[in-house]
Amino acid sequence: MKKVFINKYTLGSTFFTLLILLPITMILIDAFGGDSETLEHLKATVLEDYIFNTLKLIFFVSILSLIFGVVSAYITVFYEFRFVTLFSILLALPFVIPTYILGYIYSDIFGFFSPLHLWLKDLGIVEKHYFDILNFNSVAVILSLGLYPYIYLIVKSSFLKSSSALLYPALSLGKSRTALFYQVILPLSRPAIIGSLSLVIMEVVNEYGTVSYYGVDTLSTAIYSAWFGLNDPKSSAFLSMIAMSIIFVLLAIEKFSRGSSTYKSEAISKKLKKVPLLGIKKYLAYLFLSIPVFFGFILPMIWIVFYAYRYARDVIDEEFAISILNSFVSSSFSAFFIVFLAFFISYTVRIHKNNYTKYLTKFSGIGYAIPGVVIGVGVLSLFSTIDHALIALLDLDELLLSGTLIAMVFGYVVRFLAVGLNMTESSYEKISINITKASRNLGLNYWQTLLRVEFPIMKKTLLFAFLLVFVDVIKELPLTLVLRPFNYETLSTKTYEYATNSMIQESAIYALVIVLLCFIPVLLSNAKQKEER
Amino acid sequence: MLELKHVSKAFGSHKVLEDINLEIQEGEIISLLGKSGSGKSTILNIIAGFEEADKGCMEYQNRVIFSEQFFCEPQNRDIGFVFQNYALFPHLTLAKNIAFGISAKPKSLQKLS
Repeated sequence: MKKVFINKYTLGSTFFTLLILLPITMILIDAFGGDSETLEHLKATVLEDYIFNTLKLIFFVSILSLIFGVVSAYITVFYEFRFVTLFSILLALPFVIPTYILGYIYSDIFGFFSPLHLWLKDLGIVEKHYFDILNFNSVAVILSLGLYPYIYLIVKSSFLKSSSALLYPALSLGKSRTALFYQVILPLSRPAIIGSLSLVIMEVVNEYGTVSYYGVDTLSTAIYSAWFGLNDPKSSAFLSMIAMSIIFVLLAIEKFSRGSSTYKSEAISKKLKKVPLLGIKKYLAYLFLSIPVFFGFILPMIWIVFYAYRYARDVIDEEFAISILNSFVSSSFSAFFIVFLAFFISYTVRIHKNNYTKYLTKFSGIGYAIPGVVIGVGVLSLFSTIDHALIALLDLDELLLSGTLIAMVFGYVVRFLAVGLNMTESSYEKISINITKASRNLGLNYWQTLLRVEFPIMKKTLLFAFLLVFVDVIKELPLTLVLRPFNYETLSTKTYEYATNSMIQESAIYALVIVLLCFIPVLLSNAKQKEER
Repeated sequence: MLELKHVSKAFGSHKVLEDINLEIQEGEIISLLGKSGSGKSTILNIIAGFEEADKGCMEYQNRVIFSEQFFCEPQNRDIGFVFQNYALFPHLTLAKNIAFGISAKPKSLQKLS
């Protein structure tokens, strides 16, 4: 038989990619399908505010996250002082607390009835003008505290890789350390800085829990309320399209500014000698590094553990067990499908390396750049169209797919397939193609090679990918809120529910379970790094 | 005997091999010499079935293994290949690496002491 490009692998991957793109296509169809009365009203009144607030939030969170992330990475990589290793570890830990949980915690700590506020009131400091934390500025600070680790981790890794071969020649040419930073290190790390910043921006546009609780109207809250509050899918789709456009314009700018440079850098064994920090500079470094560590991790963790312990007896009940079970079921199914699809698509790319398959992976991973609430709206629209077609065709009297676990898992697959793809693709890159060729040469076909050679080599990575996706799904809030079946509660929706019912402290035990699960990827990546070393 | 007739191969617009004719008799040792990028590895990959030629045909032991209508999969060619770099299976022991090719053969042919 003639070897052909169109086979079960390319056809399968194309089918899955088209499936992933369907919800996004539905949004575009709905968005361009003419204006509804509600949409006309939104355009005339609040649309401008939604866009402005979203852009303003992106701007301020980017600035603050850059300051926390880049400066912390610089201090910990290039300077030597007591506890620097401890700070290096602690600075990454705000990562384990989802931003909406951080938002709820700070609304409780600094809220009107918080012990702090009551104490200040007793002292007579805030008798008349209590400080209102539920505002835009607080959201910007809270999101920055939760998201800066993206920048810190990626930029730190870039600094570590550049802190050797290129820096010694620069020093020997008479450059000062300050000049070295601005003229060599920073330009070398620019792709890492811009790349990590784009991740932060995606998270900001995706953010729903904190912004809705703090009463800041962004596109994300508007999409949700247009669908569920105003009951107008057209408006929701139109707002979703604007949110997607913002992300894609920013990603295009990132790609344009990055040009052909990549994040990869040669790992060089000799590192630049760290400079000891002494005197006032040392104390300033302690002060600076303590701010994100304390407010991003230590204080929220104290709050979570304290209230989880305090309310454990009241909150740990059947409902708690069911929400854990629901979270585990939906996350396990989603993670399984995602890893399977990622493995399949990466395999197709491996055996058919060309532009077509390259774009297949790019498109199938597009969901990660799109806010969860937007994907939710797209999936709702898609499944309701299918349901209505089935009702007309088969004379059914109820919706078959909408509001089911299938819709929810499909939404997660669309959103998080990129996480699985990143893992499987990078793992495949590490397996020499000669291994596959040798297996074929020794008598195994594609399928046997996949099962007997590639799968066993990759199984650790696949497990790692499964756990990463599992945790991502567990902490995902907006998509879950939009797509969950009626009365289906997960850990994230229960945290949200308690918070919106002014029972934030009771949500602590749910938050604690999410946070403990979020430690898994951190521990795993540490173990993986050690193994690679 | 291995025979390549009018074999051509291009990667995109870059023509790597053009009208290659080669005949290797049983027991004969042949060296392919050429500068970097001249297509030596491509010829070997095409013979082993890791790459598909665009034109021409190939016969091995009086059996067509490639023509413009037919492509014999690498596992069915019975052609050995020694890789320039390591091609050991990292998840297998040394013994299992050695036995790997034998395990792919029919049971009646599997004999490893």
